[in-house]
Amino acid sequence: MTESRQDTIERLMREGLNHYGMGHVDEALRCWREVLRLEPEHADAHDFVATAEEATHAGGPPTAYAGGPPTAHVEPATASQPAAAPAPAPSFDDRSEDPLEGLVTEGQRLVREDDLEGGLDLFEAVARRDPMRLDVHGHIESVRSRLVKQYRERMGELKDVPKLRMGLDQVMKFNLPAHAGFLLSLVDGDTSIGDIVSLSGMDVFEALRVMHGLLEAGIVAVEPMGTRERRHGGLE
Amino acid sequence: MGRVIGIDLGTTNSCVAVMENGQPTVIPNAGGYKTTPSMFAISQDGKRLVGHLAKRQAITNARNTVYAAKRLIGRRFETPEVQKAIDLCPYEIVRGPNDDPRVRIGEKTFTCPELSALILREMKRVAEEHLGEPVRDAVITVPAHFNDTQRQCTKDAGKIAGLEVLRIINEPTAAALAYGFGKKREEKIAVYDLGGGTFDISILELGNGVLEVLATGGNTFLGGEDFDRRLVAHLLERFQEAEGIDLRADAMALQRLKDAAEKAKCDLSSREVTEINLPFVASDARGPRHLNIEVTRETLEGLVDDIVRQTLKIVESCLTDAGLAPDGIDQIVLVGGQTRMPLVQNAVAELFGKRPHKGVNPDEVVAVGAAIQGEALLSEDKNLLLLDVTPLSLGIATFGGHFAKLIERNTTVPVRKGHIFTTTRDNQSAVKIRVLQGESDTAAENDLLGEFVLSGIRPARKGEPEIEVSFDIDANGIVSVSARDLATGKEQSIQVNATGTLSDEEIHRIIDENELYEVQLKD
Repeated sequence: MTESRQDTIERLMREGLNHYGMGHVDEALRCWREVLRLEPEHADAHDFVATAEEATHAGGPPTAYAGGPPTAHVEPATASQPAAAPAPAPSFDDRSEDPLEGLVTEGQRLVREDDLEGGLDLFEAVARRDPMRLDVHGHIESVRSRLVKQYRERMGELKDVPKLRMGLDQVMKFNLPAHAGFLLSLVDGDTSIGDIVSLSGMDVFEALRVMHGLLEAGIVAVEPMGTRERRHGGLE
Repeated sequence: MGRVIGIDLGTTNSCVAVMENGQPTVIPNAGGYKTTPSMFAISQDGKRLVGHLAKRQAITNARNTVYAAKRLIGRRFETPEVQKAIDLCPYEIVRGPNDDPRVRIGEKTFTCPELSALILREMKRVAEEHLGEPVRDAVITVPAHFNDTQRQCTKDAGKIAGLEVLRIINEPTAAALAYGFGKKREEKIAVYDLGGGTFDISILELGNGVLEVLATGGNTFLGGEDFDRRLVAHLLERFQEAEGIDLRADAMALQRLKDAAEKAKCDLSSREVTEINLPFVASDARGPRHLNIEVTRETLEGLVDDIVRQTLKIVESCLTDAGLAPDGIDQIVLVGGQTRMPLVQNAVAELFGKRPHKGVNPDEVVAVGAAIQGEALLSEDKNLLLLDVTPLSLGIATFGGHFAKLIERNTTVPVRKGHIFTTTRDNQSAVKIRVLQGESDTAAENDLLGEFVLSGIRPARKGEPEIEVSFDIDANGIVSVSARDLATGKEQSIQVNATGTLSDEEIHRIIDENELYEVQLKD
């Protein structure tokens, strides 16, 4: 039985995500470019290719499970899965009855509508319940890459310095989780965003996500570094 | 020659000073701090951090943060100090090829001089930013009890950092210089040095520009950080009582608590009460939890009183070694940030029956003294100089495992002494000389600085050849040895390669690596 054009596109999209989830960016790109050859206007394929190419230029291909570049980290629950023994990706048809598939589809829809945070939440929820879903890790990596780009565009340069915009009494009105409180404690008006991310010891994506949240909430504001000298010394 | 900077390379904090218009100036770093934590780290995203930045992530990135490398420098891997550090430090200490301790961070293994060099390079950079000109020459301080190997390794660290180390001087000597002691009359001085990680007490006798170390004592694992730990433990307990949450396993919360405890401790040196406020330190089903605890000076003093008493016992023991009673001390100098604590000052005053000398900041006094020494070297003003003495006797191992002292401790340096050796067998063509430093009559109980074989001795009956071996201790306290066959006049080039020091080849390799690294950074 020959595969329909639409089936081929869906298979290639999923194979690309599987490869991407395993850190095989070149293979992923090959799949998604094939999709674009079949359907030049395929929006997701365009997004994925752009994201993967950007990630590659930024610091090499991501490795979804075992660390890798800043944008490639995943939640602790999934990060603990062994990198060396990924299960074969189930075929598209195998998962037709998968109860998590609805969440994945909804996540994809949110991402298409540019609700990247919402889509990421759903993908991460699926990954926590079924860590072997490599395609979901591919989605997570892809969305994270796009989010990092967004965060950095909104926050400005990593060398810029965040400052507290309100008094402690006002900050206390927010319902911040402890790791946001920790990141906030590193905001001293001298230390740059990049240095705070380094100092936090947090997953880079998570650190940027929290910092972006603090900026969006108006708790901190960013001051361009300009010609200011590095303070506290010693960052090489 | 340009300016000479004085560097107090501390176990916990380092400080740099320079003479400007005849006055010593302590140079603040870019953050405005006059001391810089002697810490180095590689962050999880691969950045190299030195100083305050390294300190701010020391708990959340404990495995990759190195502190107190000074405790390890110039020691053998199996010494008790190194073994204790292995037990206590979260970073990995491994045995180096020279039997020296090294620190592994990720894939890279750092020698101790290399780690000290990272701090020295930072201090050099701080000075250069302040002065607006390149700095090359430096005087670096070391504890009075440092042996030859530790001094040599410190000098190597300076070389790796791109510094020409004009002089290594003892920390208590630098402190005495900063106060201008010993110029006119003889004085006995106690230097009580309670830093962040170590406690040192030195009893000195000063007169006619010569400083003699009568006795030293201390504990290399006792310092201000123990005070911080007590306060952190207290805060953890109080938070758990109030909120039912145990923060002991929460690295982020512990990092915040440690920083806050240190600040509170400093505040309590000038205030009776302080408040520690850490919003969003934890969260549970009820929502965010905040830590808000008031601490009084009295509470803090109650928490650390036994530590202060411990230092006094060491002082008493040191006075006994020096053959002095507390009232035999003319001046007391306090060194180290922890001596700002009123409890410490009062306890020291009570012991000696007189108030400690004040006037120079205890964090800065050693660097100031080093800068004064640097200026004196530059101007060759002999009136400004204080001469050190060798802290340990120097000698060789002799037949039967005994130690023959050739230069007694407390001999003013520089010094050179020779000794005639001969053979113990007929037609013996070579002799092996083991150079030791220490006070024990038993060779094995002293520090082995190195050993060498003098060969090419002319054939003769035993006892006939005369070989003069000369031992030199330079002004830095660093030892070198030369040997000459008196019959032939032939002088052999002999190098004492102390265990744990780096070869010139290794030093150059490290310098090259650093240069490469800096080039990469600029890209």
